[in-house]
Amino acid sequence: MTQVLLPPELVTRLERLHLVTRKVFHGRFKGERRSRRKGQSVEFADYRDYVPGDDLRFIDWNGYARLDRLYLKLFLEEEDIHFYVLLDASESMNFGEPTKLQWAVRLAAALGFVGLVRGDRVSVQALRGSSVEASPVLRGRVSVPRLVEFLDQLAPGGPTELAPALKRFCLANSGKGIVVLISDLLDKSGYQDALRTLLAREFDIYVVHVLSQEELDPDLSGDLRLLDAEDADAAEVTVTAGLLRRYRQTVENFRNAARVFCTRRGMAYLGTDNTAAVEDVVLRHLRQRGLVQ
Amino acid sequence: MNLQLDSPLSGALWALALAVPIGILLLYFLKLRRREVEVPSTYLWLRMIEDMHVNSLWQRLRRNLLLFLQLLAAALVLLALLGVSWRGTRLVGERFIFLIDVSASMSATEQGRARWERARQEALAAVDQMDSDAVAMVVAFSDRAEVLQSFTDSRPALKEALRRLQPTARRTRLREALLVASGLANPGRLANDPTDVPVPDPLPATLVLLSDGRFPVPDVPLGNLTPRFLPVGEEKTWNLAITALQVDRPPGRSDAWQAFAQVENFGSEPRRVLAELRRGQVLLDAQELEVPAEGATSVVFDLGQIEPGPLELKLRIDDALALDNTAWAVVNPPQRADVLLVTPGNEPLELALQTSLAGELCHLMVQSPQYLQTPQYRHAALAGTFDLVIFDRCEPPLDEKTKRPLLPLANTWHLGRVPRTAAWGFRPGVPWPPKLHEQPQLIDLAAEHPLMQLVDMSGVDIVEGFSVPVPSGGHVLMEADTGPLMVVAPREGFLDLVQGFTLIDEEEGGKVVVTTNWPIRTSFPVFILNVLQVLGRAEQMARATSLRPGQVASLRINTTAAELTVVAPDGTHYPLRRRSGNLFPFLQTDQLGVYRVVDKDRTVRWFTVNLFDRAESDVRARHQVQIRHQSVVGSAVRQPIQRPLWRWALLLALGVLVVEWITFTRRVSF
Repeated sequence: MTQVLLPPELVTRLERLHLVTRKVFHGRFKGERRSRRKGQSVEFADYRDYVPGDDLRFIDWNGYARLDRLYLKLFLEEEDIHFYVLLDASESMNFGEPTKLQWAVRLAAALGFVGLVRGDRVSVQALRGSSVEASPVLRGRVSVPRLVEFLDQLAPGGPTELAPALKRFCLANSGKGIVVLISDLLDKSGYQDALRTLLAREFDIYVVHVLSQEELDPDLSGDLRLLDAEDADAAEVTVTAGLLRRYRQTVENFRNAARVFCTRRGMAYLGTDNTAAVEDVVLRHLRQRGLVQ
Repeated sequence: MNLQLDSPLSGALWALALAVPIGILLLYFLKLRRREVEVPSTYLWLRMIEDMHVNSLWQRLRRNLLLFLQLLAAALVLLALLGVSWRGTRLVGERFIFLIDVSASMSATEQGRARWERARQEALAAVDQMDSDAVAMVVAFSDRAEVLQSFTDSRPALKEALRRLQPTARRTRLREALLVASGLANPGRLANDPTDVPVPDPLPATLVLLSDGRFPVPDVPLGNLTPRFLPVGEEKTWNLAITALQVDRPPGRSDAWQAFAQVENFGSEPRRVLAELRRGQVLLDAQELEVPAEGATSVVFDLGQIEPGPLELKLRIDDALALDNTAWAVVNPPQRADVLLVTPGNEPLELALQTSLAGELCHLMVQSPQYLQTPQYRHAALAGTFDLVIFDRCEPPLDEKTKRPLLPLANTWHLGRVPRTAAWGFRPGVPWPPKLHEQPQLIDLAAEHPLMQLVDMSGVDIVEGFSVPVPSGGHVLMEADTGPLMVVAPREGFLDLVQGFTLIDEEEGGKVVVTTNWPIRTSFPVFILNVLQVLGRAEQMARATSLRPGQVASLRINTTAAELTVVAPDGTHYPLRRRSGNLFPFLQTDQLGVYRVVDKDRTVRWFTVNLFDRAESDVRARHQVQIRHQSVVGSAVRQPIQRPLWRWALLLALGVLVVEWITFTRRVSF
């Protein structure tokens, strides 16, 4: 499975990347990321007056010799970041060829790999109904197999209830970081409240909106009773060319509305479908949006 | 509208039928088995449906629409089974001829609507109720018949023809319309030749007469026509009318004018009315008249000296018919008549024609009989140069081509001679001139004739005279014991006056002999003035002719122009072309009012068209009319019939089912 999720050629290309955040975060461990927070590293940042209690190791003794005053040398501290991949694992993601969930898992693996090899703290959390199935917080290249293992065992199920699920996520993860939400956003109660919950935590948010080809351009005709895979809700329609045209317009409006909602609130939005190459998404689209470099 | 029930179903079958809607209600819950397709989420589909049906009321209705439609269809089927029929009226028959009266009396207004409009409305309603295979034609009639639409089964064409209907100011003569109608319903063989293509068999038709019944009894056999009279108008409608208006010189005065008018009351109550006489916008005189019930009042307006021009008399009253509340008369510019006297010498006659009064009326030219042989006479005779030609003891020359006397295009007065024409009894081989009688004794005068006005022949002796033949249409003015002595007869629009005695005569040797003492009697110059006024048309020139609507105006105008213009009351310009001589016939006299004849921007003549028709002004409608010997009572043309509605109910049910099916199968779609 590892090979499937992370083919060697993809791994080769991903190893050159690292996650970038547009916000300053406080990591728990030193990572490979330069922070504005002054701390212990080799890169000098500034001086300040010594106050009792400061670490004597950072006093600039040369300066004391010249100026007869105690100054403390400040260094830019290098941090790790929290990188969360929120996977919508509801039943609606179990559609398409490959299914949207499979596609999302591949993307999560790729992004998680980038984070792990750069020493970031990576956590994948599957949203299933209002519950959240979280992977352990992983760090370091050694955790790649654990990541893959977690992703591999993910199965779809339950309705799409983004708002309670993300609220639960926010409560459990108080730290700041990068959040990549991979979902079809087909939440009947609306995705807006869910995203607002994330915004309140000042996460650097990336929304990958994935829809299947079957949703974008359904191959349906005739008198149908459409059954919702999640809640068995039914819609009786007679599908004609005119109706399909109207449906495609509705889908387009839906995606546009999501893009506008995200963009206006500082979230990066990427609308894609299950046939898009994950490598292409990571290396081109997400790079364009500044998630990876 | 009456609804009747006549169901073919028994009680048990009805119970079964009533079970149908109940069954529909039950079946309503069995919904369509649609193919089920699982989709990731109906979220987007529902959003689309919401977009399509933003109206929540419609959503609710839509949910039950199928039920409503099915119940409606079932109700309609039950209605059909009830055998509901509608009792209405229908025009029974296969062929109809709508004769619609558009004469002047049909312009009478009752309850705000003109009679002709009501007649049209009735006809439109009748057309609507004709059977689909019935044919009809539309004839509008006044004193002439106009086929607005020949036989057709196209209702739009019939309705269009009825909408073209326009009222006229003409008289009512049903005869013309009946001839047209019966000609179509009773076609006759065109020739007796048996090899001719036979005409179609006569087809019976129903004659629907829409009129107020004010017309003379037509003497036309109806044959296959079945008359139905639909009276239009009320029997008690009253009307005041001007039935005469004339402008004339007061007796004994040649420098003044007066207008005489007669106002009649066609109603059972006396009426007071203000009569206003205007010249253009200027009010000349106004008089209040008391017009007795069923009677008439005369009124005279003294005008004094007045410039030539039209006068308008108007009754200030709001009665049924407005057409006859205004009348027009015209004082035309006086013109002298051109008179040619052809005589070997006649002093008494010449003297009488040269008095000052006669000089005002005519311009006299005296010629000897040799003048008749000249080309000038021929030209003048054919050009109508003269108004009156007096042949004293001479005869018109023979036309070389026709070998008939060349009578001028003018009125003539023959003294002592009779024209050698067939009309006056001339035949080859018949002794001519007629035999003379000695001392004929006058026994009768046609005193009512304009030529004999105020002519008193008492004491007049005549030495000899001959009996004048009386042509067809002729009028004997003087009757003697020996036969007619003076006769006037029409000739193609002119009058020929033949006097069977001379005034003077010449014996051999040139001696003049007086043959009557008439010239020294006062009646002679009076008669001469009458001749000048009637035959010289002097009087007609002074007083404009009043015509009836539709009557041909034969205008005699001395002009060199080949074409004049007539300005109708509504301002329309019509060309007026010379027909022969100075005669200009004019046909477009349908409007009431003053017509102006214009020669290069100069008005040369006025004439008027007035209703002046008692029969049309009496607008009390008749509800029974006589056609030849048949009395036709006004009745409803349409007959009550019973129309079954079940076919329509079934058709409607079928339509509802189709709509229901479409709704059922499409539900949400475009």
